[in-house]
Amino acid sequence: MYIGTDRKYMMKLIVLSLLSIAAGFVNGLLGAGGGILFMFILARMREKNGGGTDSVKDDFATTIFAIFPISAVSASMYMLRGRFSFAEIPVYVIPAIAGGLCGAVLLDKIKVSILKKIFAMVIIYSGINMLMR
Amino acid sequence: MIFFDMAAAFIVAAMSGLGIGGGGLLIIYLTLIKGIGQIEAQGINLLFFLFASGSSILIHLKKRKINFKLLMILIIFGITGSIAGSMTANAVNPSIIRNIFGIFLIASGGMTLLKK
Repeated sequence: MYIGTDRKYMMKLIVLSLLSIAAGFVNGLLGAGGGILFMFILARMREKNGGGTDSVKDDFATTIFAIFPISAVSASMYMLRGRFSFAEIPVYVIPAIAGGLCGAVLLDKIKVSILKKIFAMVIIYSGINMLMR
Repeated sequence: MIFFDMAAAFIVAAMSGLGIGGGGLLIIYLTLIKGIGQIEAQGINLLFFLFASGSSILIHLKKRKINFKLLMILIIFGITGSIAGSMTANAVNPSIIRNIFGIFLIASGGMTLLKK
C-alpha cells in the first residue's frame, strides 16, 4: 500500500476502512453486492494513484480473496438463524466449482465487454421486477 | 428442474469467475423463477459463492498480484460490516430487503451500462 505523509495515510486508511465496512454490510444485508462495491473502491484507488493494485484483473482477484471470508461469515450468520440449510446446496456445488474454474481460466482469453452489457440489462430488468412484486 | 438449477449455477459461477458479476443473478433465479423467499435465496447465494469463488482462488493466486496489506484491511472491516448487515437482514421485513435488492440491481446495472 502507498504510504504518504502520516496524516494523509491515516485519512486514506480511515476512508478505506469505512468503505470496507459499507461493502461488507451490503454483502450481509443483500447476500450479494459486496464484490461490485470492492471493485469500485479498488478502481478508484488505482485511478487516484493512492495504492491498491496494478490492474483491473488484480482488483478482481483481490476482491474475490476479500469477499470469500466475508461471505463465509455472512452465510454462517444466515445459517445460525435457520434461514436455509445445507440440504438445499448440493445441487449447486459441482456446477459452482466447474463454472468458477471455467470463468477464471477464460478471463485472459475472451472479451467480456458485450457480456457485461447484457448482464447489466438483465439485472436492471430483474430489479424492476423485484420492485413490482 | 434439477437440470435448470445446475445450468443456472454453472452460468452464474462462470460469470462470477469472469468478473462480469453474478452474485445477484442466482438470487434473481431463486426468487423470480423458483419462488424461494428473499432471505433464504440470499443465504443460499452466499454459500454458493464460497464454492464458485473458492475454486477460482488458486488460479488467481498463481496469475495475479495480490496486495495483501490492502486485502487484510478489506477483510477485517468487511467482516465487521457483514455481521451487522446479516443481523439487519434477519431482523427486518423481507419485502423491504427485496425492494432494496431491486434498487441495488438497477443501480449496479446502470453503472455497468454507463461505464466506458
